[in-house]
Amino acid sequence: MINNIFSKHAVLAAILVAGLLCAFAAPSYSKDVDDCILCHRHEGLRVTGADGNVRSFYVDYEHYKGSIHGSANCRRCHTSVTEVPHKKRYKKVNCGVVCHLKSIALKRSFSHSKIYDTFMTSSHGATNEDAPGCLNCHPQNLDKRGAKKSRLEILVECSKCHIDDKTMSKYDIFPGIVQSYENSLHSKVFFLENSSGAICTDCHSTHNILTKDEKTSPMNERNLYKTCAGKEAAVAGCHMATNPDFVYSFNHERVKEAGVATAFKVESTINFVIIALFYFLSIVNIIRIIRE
Amino acid sequence: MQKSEEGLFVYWSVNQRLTHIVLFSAVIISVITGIPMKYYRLDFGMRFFQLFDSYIAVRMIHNAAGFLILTALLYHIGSIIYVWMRTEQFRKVIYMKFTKNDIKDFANYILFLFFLKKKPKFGKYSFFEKLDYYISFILLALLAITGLIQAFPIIATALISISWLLISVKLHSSLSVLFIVYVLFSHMFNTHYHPGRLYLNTVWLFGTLSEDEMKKMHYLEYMRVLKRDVDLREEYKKKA
Ligand code: HEC
Ligand code: HEC
Ligand code: HEC
Ligand code: HEC
Ligand code: HEC
Repeated sequence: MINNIFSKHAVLAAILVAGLLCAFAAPSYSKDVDDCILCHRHEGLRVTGADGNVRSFYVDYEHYKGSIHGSANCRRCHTSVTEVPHKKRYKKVNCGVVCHLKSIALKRSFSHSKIYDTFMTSSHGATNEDAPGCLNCHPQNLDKRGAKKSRLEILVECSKCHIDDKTMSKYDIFPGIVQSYENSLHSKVFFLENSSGAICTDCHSTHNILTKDEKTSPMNERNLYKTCAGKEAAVAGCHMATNPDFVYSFNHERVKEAGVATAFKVESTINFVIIALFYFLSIVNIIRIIRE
Repeated sequence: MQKSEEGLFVYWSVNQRLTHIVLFSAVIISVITGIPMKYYRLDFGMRFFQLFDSYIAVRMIHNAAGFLILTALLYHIGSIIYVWMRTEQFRKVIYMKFTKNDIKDFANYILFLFFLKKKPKFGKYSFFEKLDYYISFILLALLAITGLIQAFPIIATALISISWLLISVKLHSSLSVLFIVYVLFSHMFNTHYHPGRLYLNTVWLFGTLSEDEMKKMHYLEYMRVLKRDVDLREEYKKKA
């Protein structure tokens, strides 16, 4: 009897809880309020472009819901899609739009506009086809939840473009950038000490990437000390208590300097001497073994 | 140089042997840690650091070994100066001094290699050994200086220009390989793998050479020691 009553209540309670859960949980999963998934759940939704490349417009909704942007509705980002069904032409997503989800931490509408504005005024914000957009470096943000790029991935990302001499010479950027980085102690420490050596973004910042001639660039002569040996750098264990001259020791274009150019020449000369010495001593030693 | 009571020739003093042991131990440690640092992109370099799990630790070991080398070099110079000032005999016979004889020996040795002459006879140190000594010393001194600059880059850049810092990085890295090749193929050959040697060379450990080895490898010195002993004996007899 008691058992029976208890189980009855339990069933009731379970139904109630389940109902409540559905009622409160559903909005946070962002139901397909814009009815976009109706069509976009079909895997066959793809179009062959004029260039022959197939573009898939399939959206894996389960995956999308689990992503970092899963609680944003489609149209928050795809603002140019105003009616359903929609027109073919539409504008690219602008990552700087104000998203009308309230951020719990900030207590106001969330937006990337600060980063977006910084980015747009940086060197990379240039509207040429070679400069990166947000998605070049952040494809994962439309993907896994909270996935962060590893430091190695960031390094590879920057290097992908900056190793390409042809594109870089178009913008009058020194072509040996990546190579000079790889020759540096920063790179060595990066590879050998758990990725702790400075990578591109540690020096250049992530979004405020500017030429060194720009006054606000972290790599500007006036900011160099702050970047390499300032408070933040000291917290990260970078160059504490350094002398002001030392911060000039890293420079991608060092090879152009006369002293360093001779150093490279001296090195290759010594390498030649090593090989010559190796063969010379081997031959002499063999002759000596025969004679003695 | 002296002949001991067991008929062995005392070739190296305890001091010389200790300096040499400290020096080559430190060199071996710095080679073991330095080569993976130079070739860290290659497979074996990567694996070495996976083994140690820390670049900074390896670099610290390398630096410590480097300081040991520097200390050994300075100590060696110091002990030479000390002996120079203390013993008159040393000033008369400096074994490591390059002389005209060495040039003659060198020419004769080349002729010997081409079957034109008999092998020249050597003193305590042949010109080979003298060359090994000076070249190793100079290379080690250069490595120590360039290493010091890298170990204290901040102090160094306060004193010298930054391009010298980068130059010393390059020099240190390439001279080290030169040094290794030189030691393996010249010094080790001349003193250890030399086909003329009768026994395993243990001078670095016990400091002595046997009589037949002395006769074969250091004939002039052997004769000098014997003659001096005879002279001393005669002198002693006269006094008696
Ligand atoms: C009636 C079905 C349907 C619905 C509903 C729908 N779409 Fe589409 N969508 C399509 C088709 C078909 C294409 C391929 C268009 C083409 O031929 O380029 C497409 C393409 C797109 C593209 C790519 C456009 C391009 O050229 O790069 C975006 C972005 C897009 N849809 C967003 C949305 C959003 C956001 C919604 C919800 C507000 C939505 N869609 C609702 C059918 C639909
Ligand atoms: C966080 C913002 C954001 C949200 C939310 C979002 N998208 Fe996108 N979507 C993008 C971006 C960025 C692109 C890349 C193309 C661009 O820059 O316009 C894109 C591209 C697309 C494309 C075209 C793919 C291609 O290859 O061109 C489709 C289709 C699409 N989204 C559908 C949707 C649908 C359906 C939803 C809702 C379930 C949605 N998106 C939600 C940001 C978003
Ligand atoms: C050149 C590559 C690059 C481009 C282009 C780029 N970012 Fe980033 N972004 C990074 C890197 C690197 C990080 C640091 C990632 C980490 O630590 O995981 C980052 C971090 C972020 C973060 C999270 C950290 C923070 O500062 O709050 C946001 C948000 C962000 N980026 C937004 C954007 C937006 C919006 C754009 C386009 C306007 C953009 N990014 C363009 C490289 C880039
Ligand atoms: C998609 C290719 C691409 C990626 C990825 C990329 N860059 Fe660039 N970068 C460019 C182009 C193109 C320019 C030149 C823009 C211009 O001047 O119009 C540039 C300019 C720069 C400049 C300024 C040079 C100057 O003289 O204007 C710096 C510094 C820079 N990038 C650093 C980085 C760093 C650090 C990263 C990684 C976080 C990175 N880049 C990733 C393409 C890329
Ligand atoms: C140790 C800090 C540091 C790291 C790491 C670093 N840079 Fe730099 N970078 C600088 C400094 C300082 C300058 C300005 C002096 C110069 O032109 O070399 C500079 C200049 C540049 C420039 C030319 C911009 C201009 O002002 O003309 C580009 C492009 C660049 N870096 C890209 C990269 C990339 C890509 C990486 C990663 C592979 C990287 N940097 C890593 C410090 C760094």
